[in-house]
Amino acid sequence: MEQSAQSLEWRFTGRATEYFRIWIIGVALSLLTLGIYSAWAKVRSQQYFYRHTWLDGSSFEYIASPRELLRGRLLFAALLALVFVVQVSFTPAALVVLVLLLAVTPWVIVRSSAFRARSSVFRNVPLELQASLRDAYVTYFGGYLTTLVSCGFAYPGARWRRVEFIVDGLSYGSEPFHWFTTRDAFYSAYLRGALIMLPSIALAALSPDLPYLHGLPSKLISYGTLFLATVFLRAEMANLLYSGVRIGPHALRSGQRFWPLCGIYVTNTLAVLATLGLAIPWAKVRLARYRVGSLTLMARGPLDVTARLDPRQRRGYGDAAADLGGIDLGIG
Amino acid sequence: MASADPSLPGPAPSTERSARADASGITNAGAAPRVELEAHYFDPRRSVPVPARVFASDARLIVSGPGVDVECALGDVRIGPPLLGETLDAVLLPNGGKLETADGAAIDRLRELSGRPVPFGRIYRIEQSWPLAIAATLGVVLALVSACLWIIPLGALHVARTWPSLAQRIGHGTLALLDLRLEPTELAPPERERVQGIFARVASDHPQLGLKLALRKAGFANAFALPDGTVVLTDEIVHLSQHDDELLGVLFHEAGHIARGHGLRRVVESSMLALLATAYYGDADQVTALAAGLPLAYARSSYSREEELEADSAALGGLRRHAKDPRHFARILRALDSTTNERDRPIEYLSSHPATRERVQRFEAAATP
Repeated sequence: MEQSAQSLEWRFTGRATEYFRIWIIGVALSLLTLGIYSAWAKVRSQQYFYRHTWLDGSSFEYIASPRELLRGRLLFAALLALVFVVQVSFTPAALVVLVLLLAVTPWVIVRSSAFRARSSVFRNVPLELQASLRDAYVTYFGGYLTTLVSCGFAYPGARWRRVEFIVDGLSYGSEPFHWFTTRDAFYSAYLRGALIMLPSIALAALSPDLPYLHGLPSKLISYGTLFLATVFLRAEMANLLYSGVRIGPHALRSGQRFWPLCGIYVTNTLAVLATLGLAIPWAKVRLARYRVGSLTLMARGPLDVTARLDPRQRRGYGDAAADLGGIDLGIG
Repeated sequence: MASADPSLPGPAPSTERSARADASGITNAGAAPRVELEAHYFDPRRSVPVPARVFASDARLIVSGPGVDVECALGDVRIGPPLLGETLDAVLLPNGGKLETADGAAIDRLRELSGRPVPFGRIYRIEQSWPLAIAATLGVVLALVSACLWIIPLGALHVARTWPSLAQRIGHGTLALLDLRLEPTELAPPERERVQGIFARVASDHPQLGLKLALRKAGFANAFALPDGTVVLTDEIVHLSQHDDELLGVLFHEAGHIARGHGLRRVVESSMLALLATAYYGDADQVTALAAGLPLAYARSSYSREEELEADSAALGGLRRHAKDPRHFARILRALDSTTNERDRPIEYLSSHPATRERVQRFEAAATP
């Protein structure tokens, strides 16, 4: 960046002692209400993580209403139930339903990304996603196709295109997002991830007939390398995603590092295992602190933007058109 | 609100305080309750924070600062949800403008003054309480443990007994799905008749189950029971057997699964466990959720371990009724175990079948009078 850029550090101030209470109450009430409350629990959780994420003295805000979320969840549950019923009763119909599900996937992803964007507010201005459905279908189905034809080798390129599609559709008020990460960077990241898997690939390729190698040690090696590769890709993908983002004159930077992230994941996993899941809030808070803490905004000038829509109109519009807007499946 | 610490990040009230215009004349100071606070004001649709002072009394709210002069009815103001920890509180103004402040105590008074229902107010009161959090923890742990130990197995059994038609449907559907991957049997007709003859003995022992035999070529030696009473034998297990009574034991074992409704129980158990897992872990990061799912996977595999032992008991009972040597079943178990190369098995979370050696020993011990 140029000299004139001011680097603004992101900070996360959530605490496990606070979030634990929000989380456990959410779980308890979700169980008591047979899952209905889970929409409220999710919103409460999001509110906590957003409002404890700070940038330049302001915090983020999550403004989605649980009712919207519940609508999306019920629709999704109905779809799953439909698939289940069709699957246990009549086979050819199950295939039709699966094809239909595949066909609506790009639409669901665009709607849920748009929903998440307009639920995220910073300084009175929400994010917006404008993505054409046609481009979504070209992007997603094109990606499926090239991945399939190339036996998976083109997957990094397909994923890169999907991220580009969403990020380029985002804007913060009057400032559109631009994404500068190259396709090659994605291929390089996946290649290096595959290198981590090399020991277990070699083990499988070189010694197919040595039975003692299929015992515990080889399992440890294959699970271990899979874990390391997953964590490596998590860090790498986050860095590639955020560091390529320009918002008008401003630029994002993400500096997640492999070994610290590994340490967090290992300890998180052990803690969650040892406590039968009760350490999940602690694990989430530490992960968020690391992820948010490795973000920087290289700001050139004040963060002065104007929302395209009047917030009052926006809310009215949101209520009228939100029939299916509350789909937030945590994809993408 | 948890804190009204003025040294919070965000709007820095301390720097504003010295520079603030003397605005006390704007509101009528007096006996009427009033709230004053410092905040950042945002113009409608704008992202630029402007330090401002806020006064509320007599059902009016006034915001004033450099270039800011907004007045509105307190009843038209919407105050954001309260939250644990040191956060900013948001106030939405009817003009589309917004206030953000770290002065939580003042916001609490403003909520009281406005008299409007607080969004998420009730749940916030619950979240504040440690005793309630501890009670919820105990309740959740108790619910999880009793769900895994009793509710799910018993509930699944109940479902299996109440809706036999569900078993029929799942059985048909499963066989249809399996047939996408299996091929028709290539056993010679006399071989088929021999197997049918062995099967007839098992079926006549369990007339109420409506047992049916399905022979298929699969590429691997195996036998499985479907909830509707269909027992599938693969060509390969027929070839693997060296004695009729080995297949007899296998068929009694599968009939045991069907008699106890294991197949349907498995389906119901899986869906109930999945539901439980989503409620509990749905929120966690995927990598962590994988680890958190281990106890549930263990619960699932311990169910199936029990089921195998129950079905083995049925096989042992059946062989004894027909005065057959239980060691035949032990032999085919061992043979099955050696044909299944470990590499060919799908990666399993935890082994679902009890160690073959223990099962074999059980049948060999039963043979010695």
